[in-house]
Amino acid sequence: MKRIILLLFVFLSTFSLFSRDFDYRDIPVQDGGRIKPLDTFARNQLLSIYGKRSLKLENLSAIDWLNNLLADPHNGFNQKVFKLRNPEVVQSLGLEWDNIHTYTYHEILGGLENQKELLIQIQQKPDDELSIMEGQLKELHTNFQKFANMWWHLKIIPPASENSEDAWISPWEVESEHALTHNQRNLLFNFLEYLNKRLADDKMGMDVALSNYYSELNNNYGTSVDSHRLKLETWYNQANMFYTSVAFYILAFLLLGISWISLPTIFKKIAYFSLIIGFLFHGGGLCLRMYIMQRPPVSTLYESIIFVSFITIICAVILEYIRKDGLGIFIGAVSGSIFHYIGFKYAVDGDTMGMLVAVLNSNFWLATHVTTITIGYGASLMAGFMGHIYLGMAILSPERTNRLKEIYNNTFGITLMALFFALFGTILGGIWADQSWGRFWGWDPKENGAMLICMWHLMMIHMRLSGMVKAPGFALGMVLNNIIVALAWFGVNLLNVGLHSYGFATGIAINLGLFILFEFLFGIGAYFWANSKQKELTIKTK
Amino acid sequence: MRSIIRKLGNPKIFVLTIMWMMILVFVGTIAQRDMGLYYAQQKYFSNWLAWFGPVPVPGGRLTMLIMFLNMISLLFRHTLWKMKKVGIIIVHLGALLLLIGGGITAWFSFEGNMVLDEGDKSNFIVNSQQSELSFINTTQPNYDDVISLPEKILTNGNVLNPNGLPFSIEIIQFHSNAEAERRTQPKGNFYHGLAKNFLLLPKENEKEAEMNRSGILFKISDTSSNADGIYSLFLGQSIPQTLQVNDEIFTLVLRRERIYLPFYIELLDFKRVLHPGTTIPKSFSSEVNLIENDIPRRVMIKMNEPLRHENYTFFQASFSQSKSGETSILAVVKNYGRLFPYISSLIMSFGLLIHLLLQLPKLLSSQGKKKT
Repeated sequence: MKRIILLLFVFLSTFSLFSRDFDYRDIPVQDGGRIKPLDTFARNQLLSIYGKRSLKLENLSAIDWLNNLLADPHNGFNQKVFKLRNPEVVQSLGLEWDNIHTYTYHEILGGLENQKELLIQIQQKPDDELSIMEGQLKELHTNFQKFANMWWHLKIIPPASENSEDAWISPWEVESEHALTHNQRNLLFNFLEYLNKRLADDKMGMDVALSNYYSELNNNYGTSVDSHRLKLETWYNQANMFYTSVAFYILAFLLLGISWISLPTIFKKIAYFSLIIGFLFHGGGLCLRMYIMQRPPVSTLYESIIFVSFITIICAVILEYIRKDGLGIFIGAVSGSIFHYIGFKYAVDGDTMGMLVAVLNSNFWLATHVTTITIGYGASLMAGFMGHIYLGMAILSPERTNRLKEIYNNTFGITLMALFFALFGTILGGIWADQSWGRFWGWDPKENGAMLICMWHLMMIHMRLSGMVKAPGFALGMVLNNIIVALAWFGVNLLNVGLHSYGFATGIAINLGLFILFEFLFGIGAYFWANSKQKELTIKTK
Repeated sequence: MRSIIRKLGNPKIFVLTIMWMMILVFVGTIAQRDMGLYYAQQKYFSNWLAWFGPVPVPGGRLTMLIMFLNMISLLFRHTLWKMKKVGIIIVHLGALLLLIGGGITAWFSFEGNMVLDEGDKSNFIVNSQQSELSFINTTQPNYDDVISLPEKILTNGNVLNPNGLPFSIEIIQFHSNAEAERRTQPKGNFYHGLAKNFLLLPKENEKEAEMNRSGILFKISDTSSNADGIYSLFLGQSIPQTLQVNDEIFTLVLRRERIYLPFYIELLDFKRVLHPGTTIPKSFSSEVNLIENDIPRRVMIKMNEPLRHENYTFFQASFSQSKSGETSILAVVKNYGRLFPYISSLIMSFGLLIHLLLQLPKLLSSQGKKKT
């Protein structure tokens, strides 16, 4: 235990060691309702146009791409940055479908001009009537507009007032120099100066302009712009802590695998250590996000994925601490990696740090209800993983009855814990609803989903109590419980009704269907297989 | 009696009811996609019997009643009253309280909307799902006499003779959602107003119940004048229907059911704040005067910060903007059971926590550790 605390201390102190000078990536810009570093802005722009957060071909980071574009539009417009994934779209624009299918501003411009009538027709159609190709064309058009008018979207000039609620303006919105206050002008001119020196490749000049910019910012806008937070966000963007943590999870899994072959105790220890390091990066990333956004850990679907995975890892670390037989490492490494990959898929959809609509904009309820219910999801999935393990063990080594019994007990314990959080989280959600719109319960799909999880746990616990199921049946119940959790978590977003349908991606439906099918077949198949193994065993012992 | 209670308290009954409840919840949730939240709730959850096609099955209310009886009977079991099960007992008491609260809310609470333009005041809330047929006696210059017939008695063929009305009313047709179709030829003098030129046709209910437009066709008789005849009304119809009987003048309207409050609310200012530079709303708020006995009190109603007054709660629910100004829509709820979930959740969490603390060490420990 002492060692873990020591480790935590060392890990946290690395954060405080980190401190660097303000640089061009940290320049504040208002976008999507909050003030963020230019680095984040550039990454999101490039992501929507190019599909990645850096230009792979030219090995250029998003921020450098953006600055080049701003400083030297001529070259920027000749850069291949519009990635088109659909050959149909490329054809309709009259372009060649080649290996990289990435095009320049001018190529896209020509193509769009040819398709004017089609575009007008698409703009008039409601979104749900668009075909895939039409939807992509519409999106391309929007991105194209944004790219062409980048200076207009770059809200880089703080408002004249100190009020943080006021909108920032972009250089294009400035009618004349005289419309700006002295402070605004200085800030803008230093930024432009920086871009000029950058174009002239004058390193000294760039540094001077930037340091002038920073002192202007600090002196005049120090209260409304937190430069420390901007720097941290830039660092968070660059650090990719969740990539690091998934690397450690995979490493833990490999080490665990080696421990099954040779030197079990040592490798198991190193694997556990690796799992904990990954866990610390994971938690560190979550804490950074909380600090940057100034809100509790979960408020969007993306964050719920990261957080649920964090919860399963906590359970796994504790389980391993108690059992010391590699089971916790196994579950932690597998679940952590899977969830991270789902999270990465989500992160590609766009900005993962968006602002929240009014009804969700309540830190108190986000912290209590959403966090609790997400812990409930995590613990439920953990119980589900344990169900898999139990059935797997019962098939592979049915003769080790003691070990099976332990795992059964562990599963039951985690189920109780999951029920506690799911039930408490659901009720807290009801109380939030009562506080916000006057009814405790409205049979909204998300509410029903959370209730289904609670009811499923209650059913399994009472089935065990009344002898309706034995250990394998309970394990099967927990495997199927994963289906319920997945439906409650993602499925309700497919229904598109109610107050909770906040994040929806089209691809979800298929993946969800596959997952449900897999869990169902695995559960039923493993259950019967385990039972028949059990019978064989009893016949043998007789 | 003893044995009945014993049998009723069987956890197997609980397992069966909760299985059934899960099926109901699942089906009822999927059904919302096609029939909307309100009707799915009415059909599957707030009902004693639900219908799966032509087959009657227990609805949400009946299922929860069985669950309730099951839990009550459980408390009579002697095997339960042991020290190590104290957590379990507490959890079940909390769950019972939750169900009781649900029952009270289901029977005694009501909710509606108050729609206010800036500068307007109102002392009633409207129930967006129910209509009422109102007869407004406008004979006196100083005040109106209003007699309203709620939707539940507007059944086809029902003959009504309310006190205060000098005629009787026979309901010919009432549809919760209807449309008007022009007759090929106008009817004779026995038909009045809209009914003369239009036919009342039933329509399927909208997904969102508040989008329904109800319509009614009824016969007025015993006025001993030529006002006798058949009338037709639609929700939100623009030209009012009047009726003169002797010296009294009535305005007839089909409108959303109103519930009057013992005080007035006056909307001073509605505000919508966006996240800077976006169209994402950050907060909504209504600054109102709560006027009781002619004494105004200024109150701010915000998202997540409702106004509570005399068992009524006012929430910022919605708004609309037009050229003439802003309109705020407040959701108003009166619920006697609203404290139950708060208390029961505390009790249940407490019970579960005790049970977890008693059980977890045993469940999470490994056999290997015990040997050492």
